[in-house]
Amino acid sequence: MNGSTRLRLRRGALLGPALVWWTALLAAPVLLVLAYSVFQRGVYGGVVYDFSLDNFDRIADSLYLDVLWFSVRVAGEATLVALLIGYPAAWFIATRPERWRTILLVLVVLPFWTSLLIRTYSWMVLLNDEGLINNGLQSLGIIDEPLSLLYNEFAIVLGLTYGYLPLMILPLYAAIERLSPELREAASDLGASGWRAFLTVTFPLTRAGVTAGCIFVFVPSLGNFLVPDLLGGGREQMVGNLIQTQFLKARDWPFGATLALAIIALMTIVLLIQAWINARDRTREVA
Amino acid sequence: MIEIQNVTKRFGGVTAVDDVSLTIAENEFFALLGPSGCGKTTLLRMLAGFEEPDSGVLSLDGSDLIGVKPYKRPLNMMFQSYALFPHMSVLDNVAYGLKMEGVKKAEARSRAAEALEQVQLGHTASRRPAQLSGGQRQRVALARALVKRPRVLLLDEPLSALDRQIRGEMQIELKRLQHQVGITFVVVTHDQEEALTMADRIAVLRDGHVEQVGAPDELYERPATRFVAGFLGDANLFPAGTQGEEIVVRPERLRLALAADASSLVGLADTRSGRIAEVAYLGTARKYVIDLKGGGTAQARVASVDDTRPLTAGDEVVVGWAPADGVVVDAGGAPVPAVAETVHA
Amino acid sequence: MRGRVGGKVLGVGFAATLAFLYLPILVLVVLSFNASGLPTSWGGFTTGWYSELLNNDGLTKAFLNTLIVAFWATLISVVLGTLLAFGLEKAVKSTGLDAVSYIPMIIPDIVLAIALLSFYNLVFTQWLGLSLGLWSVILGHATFGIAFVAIIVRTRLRHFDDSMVEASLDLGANELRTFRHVTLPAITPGIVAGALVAFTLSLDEFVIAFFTAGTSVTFPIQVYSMVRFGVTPEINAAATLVVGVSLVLTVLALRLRGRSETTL
Repeated sequence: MNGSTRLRLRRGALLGPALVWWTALLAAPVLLVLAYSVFQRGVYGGVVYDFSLDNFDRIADSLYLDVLWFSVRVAGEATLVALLIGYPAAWFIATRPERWRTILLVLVVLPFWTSLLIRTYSWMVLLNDEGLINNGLQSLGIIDEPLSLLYNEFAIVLGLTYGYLPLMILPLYAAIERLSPELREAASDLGASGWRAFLTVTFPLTRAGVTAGCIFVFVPSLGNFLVPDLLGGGREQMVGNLIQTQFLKARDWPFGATLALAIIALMTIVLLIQAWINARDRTREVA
Repeated sequence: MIEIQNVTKRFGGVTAVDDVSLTIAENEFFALLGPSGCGKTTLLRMLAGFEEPDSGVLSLDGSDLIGVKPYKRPLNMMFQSYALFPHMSVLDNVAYGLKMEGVKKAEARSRAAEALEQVQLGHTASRRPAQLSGGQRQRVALARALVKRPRVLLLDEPLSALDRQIRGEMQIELKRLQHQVGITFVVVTHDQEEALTMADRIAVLRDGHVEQVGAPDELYERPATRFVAGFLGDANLFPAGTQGEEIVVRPERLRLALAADASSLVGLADTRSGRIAEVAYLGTARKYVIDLKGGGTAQARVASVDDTRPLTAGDEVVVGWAPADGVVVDAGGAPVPAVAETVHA
Repeated sequence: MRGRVGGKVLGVGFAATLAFLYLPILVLVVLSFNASGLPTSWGGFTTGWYSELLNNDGLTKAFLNTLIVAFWATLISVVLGTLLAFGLEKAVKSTGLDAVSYIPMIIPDIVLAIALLSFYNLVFTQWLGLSLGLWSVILGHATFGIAFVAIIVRTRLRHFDDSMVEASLDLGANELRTFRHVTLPAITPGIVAGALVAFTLSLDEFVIAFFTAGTSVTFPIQVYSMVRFGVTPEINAAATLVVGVSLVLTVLALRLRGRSETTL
């Protein structure tokens, strides 16, 4: 057997199994379900293969558009809050002596690796009308009536922020760590006060980390099902909940698929924006 | 004992080694010298067995090496990155080759310990490679290869990763080691100083073929081509009468005198007039850059002990060379410039 | 830097952030030992809820199911993921394939869940008459597990000096022995780390399991039902256990992944 056949066999043996697996269990299923969006629900559930764009008409209905907009808004809020909390945290870690940094990063990332379900559940315990926070505030005399902290938009945003905060901090840390302190010194030397130096020099230089962090929080938040389900209590619905309803209760798979398509479309737009920002930054750098 | 005959190796569209023939003798410290991309590393790897020639013959003591797997060849290699196994102790690294030969664990370990003693690293036996310095790692790599008592030791840029200071010491160390162990060393290097210092014979390679093979002094004093002349040291190149040829004169061989004292230069094959453009004091010598009348530059190096009356910039001078000091070289296809020039190593 | 005051504020802020991140976890741990079972009052220290757990058949069965799923999903992920890592790192250079190998990690889990459900329904239920169960969850978990194992093993491979393989061959070991004595020991920590990550992810995974488990129940599914439809205090004990196991596995994985990594 000659050299290049050997090489090809080797490549096939290494890449083959995973790629075949993914073709059968990733590509095919995703394409299938996306294809469903142009078909119809059968009488008893299931799919009837009549081509139709009805589902897209349906999604344009204000009812569903509201849900989509709500999802985008909530995901956006969670992203913003995560950024506001995460940036200072990442900054803090990046400016510690080297041997501290790994430990601090590990501490921050660790919670992410435990079950989102369980962590969200514990917020239920905390935010409940009879939960720890209300209890604590009442016994301290700060409030008389329990605050409505659960089963609303506030709770969902909190839950999403909490769930994905570590994913915001990591890329921010990476970007901040790469900054040279001299840049900041140069900015202040040229007359910029602390805040202005930060806004005009430091922050823009970490933009790649910011966009990455935002994507890491926004995307999972957008299609999230668990957090709005548990912390929204069925009152506030996001796209993920809708999809679950369509697939497991209403049994209208084609419509559920259309909703999934909407998520993917939104996701793609966000990724394209990120790519555009990065490309623009790169050409700026060259200039 | 090593016969390389008409060996060619191609990678895609590039010919890395082009019809090279060399003989390396027993017990010789042989250097493959040349700029990057000249094929020296490919040649070494073909000797080791990591590449196979497309055509030609490779043999060791008469037996053909072609098609023989690296682990069956009685040659061992010291890699540029040392390639020590990070998950094994230093001792186990050195003993590895012996264990692969089937030597019993106890004996392998004791022989390995001995080999480490020989390179003064006995005390590091239980440490991990990551805990050693660069120089120490190199000695471990050497010990690991030599403990197997190969017929030939191949070394790929052995000194390139070391600090300046240690390099000089290691050059002498390697030479001493080779004498002590009594086997053939084949070294690949791009540093002419290294080759000149350590090797018994050097093959200068360029673009896949051999420009010249010989002892260090042969190559330095009697270069065959302009490339060899320029690669091994600074060289003055004067256009010769004939087409495609130049005359090489080493700066230390270029005689120099004030124009007024021109008569003090006797027995020269040829002379030129000029004016001193620059003087640089180097401690052991002075370097004079001379602008020649009619164009071109030359460089002369006068040892401080001989420089009884140092010249200064602006002085009108005469330069020349004795017949024995001017070597006619082939320009190697490069166009011969109309005026003299100096090439630097 | 930014001045003493600024530095202190930052430090306090960071402490608050850490508190924010760990508070919910701590609450659970404390509650799991709270005899009153309620977050509103402390009834004394007890390990009673943990023993209740062991008696709760639904939970123990669900936990065993989850172990089975995690085990098989991890096995598949490790084998296919390691092969893939070698392929992508050593055999081909393709940014396209690299991107493909990241897809299972960024795709929203609900999209993957409904995709698998549709696929299983069409191919397995309608054509082959098979009903969904643990096997369908295993397949789903392995699908993203492969990607995680691949990326972790790849990082390890990147730091692997190829000349070590040549050195081993040069010293007398043939290809098989070289793999056994040099390559494998060098990448094993990476493979184990990848296995731990895949295992942890499968252990905690809810969404895909929820959609594709059919009538079978995994631990997260059971916990979800309990949370949604009737909270009993054993949940806190169960939650604490799961969190504890995840943390231990993750710390192990991090230690094995290599010193210089500061990424996930």
